[in-house]
Amino acid sequence: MSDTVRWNTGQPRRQESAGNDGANLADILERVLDKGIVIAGDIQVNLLDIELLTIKIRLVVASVDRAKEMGIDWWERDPTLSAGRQELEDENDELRSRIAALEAVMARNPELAENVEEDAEEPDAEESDAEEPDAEEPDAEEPDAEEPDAEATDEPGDADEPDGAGQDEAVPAERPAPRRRKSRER
Amino acid sequence: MSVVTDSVSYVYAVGREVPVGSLDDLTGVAGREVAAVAGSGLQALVSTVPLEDFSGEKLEERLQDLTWLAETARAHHHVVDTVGRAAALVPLALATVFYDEARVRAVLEERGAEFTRALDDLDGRAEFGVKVYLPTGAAPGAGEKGTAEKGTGEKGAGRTTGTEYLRRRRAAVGAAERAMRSARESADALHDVASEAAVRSRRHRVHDTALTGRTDQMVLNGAYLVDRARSGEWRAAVDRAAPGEVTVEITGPWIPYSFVNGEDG
Repeated sequence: MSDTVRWNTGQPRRQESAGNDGANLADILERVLDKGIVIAGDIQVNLLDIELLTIKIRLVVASVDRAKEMGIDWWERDPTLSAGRQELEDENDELRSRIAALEAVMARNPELAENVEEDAEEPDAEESDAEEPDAEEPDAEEPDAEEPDAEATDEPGDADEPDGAGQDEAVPAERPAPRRRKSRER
Repeated sequence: MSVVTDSVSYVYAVGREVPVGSLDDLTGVAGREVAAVAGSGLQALVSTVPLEDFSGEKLEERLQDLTWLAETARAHHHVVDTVGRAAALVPLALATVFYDEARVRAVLEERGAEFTRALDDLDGRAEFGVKVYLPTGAAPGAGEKGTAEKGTGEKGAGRTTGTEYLRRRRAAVGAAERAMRSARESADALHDVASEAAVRSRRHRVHDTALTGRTDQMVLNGAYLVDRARSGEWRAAVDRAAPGEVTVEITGPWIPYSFVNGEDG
């Protein structure tokens, strides 16, 4: 009885599984757990627990429904994790190559490094960086490897400081996660 | 149906004029058959289930077991959905359990007026769901790279590119926010149209992408109580109003789980 039809205007979509038993598990749980007339039975189930439970379900139901097609590594294929991760990796690669190019330019042309510093608002911190471009590489790369995870999950802030040319290497490397996060927030 | 002391009565729903034959060959929770327990002019759909699986402690424990929960929820829904095609029903929440059938009859009597009101309200009506998603491709930002590398080899150009890069990044963030805002507005507008054409409506919480298993973000999860006779009209109205930039999904007809408490929505 509960059939599902989905469409995207202009571009016909496939029919979802029809029939009551094919109804989406999340839709069923949403109704049979949260809705329906609530009568205190003789055997009481704490509704607070059910409320907590639904939160838990929100996190794991996909694994049950899709266990067969997705296998035990479902979370790795979870689009909220994997799609963004690939994007971040691409961006990190791109940024690394740009850092290398910048460093090459600076190494060939020391005055340019000086100019960059004069523009910076906090030249003291950048002094050693600019003069030793080689030393920057590990600094710039190592945090990259860990940042996607940390930032994607719990970086609420959005360090908005495009100024300070000397920081160009570091700042773009941190940009992707806040941007991605914003686009996913509801 | 005999009542044994180590069994309890699981109630799915309360109905009116439930055809006797509609329960034949129907399998409910725990693989049990379903029977009608009559009282006060109403019928409760009941399965006799083992106490050992449905005692308070056991039940709380099992509700944490997702496999068991999924099976039980589907079985519960299956009974409600099947019988609901043939009779007016008020579905009860999952895992409403009484000691025996006598207790079920007592509850039918105690709360008969309430059930009757709800049945009067829901008879001839069905629930539909409308979910709206913002397609992943609609959130810009992905197409930005590729242009970022040019000019980095030029003397002094690196700095400009870095600033430009940040500017583009901010623009992408802005575009994604605008796409989301616009999708929410579309969803609100669609909800208004769907509500207008319905008897009652309510909005459920949107599902997380971890739950839907989809990459696109849900922006509307609405439920609509619709006269069955007019469900075609309702669908057509929603169809006409469905905006192009979002994906719209309609579910139903459902037995009106979301509207059993008349004052809601």
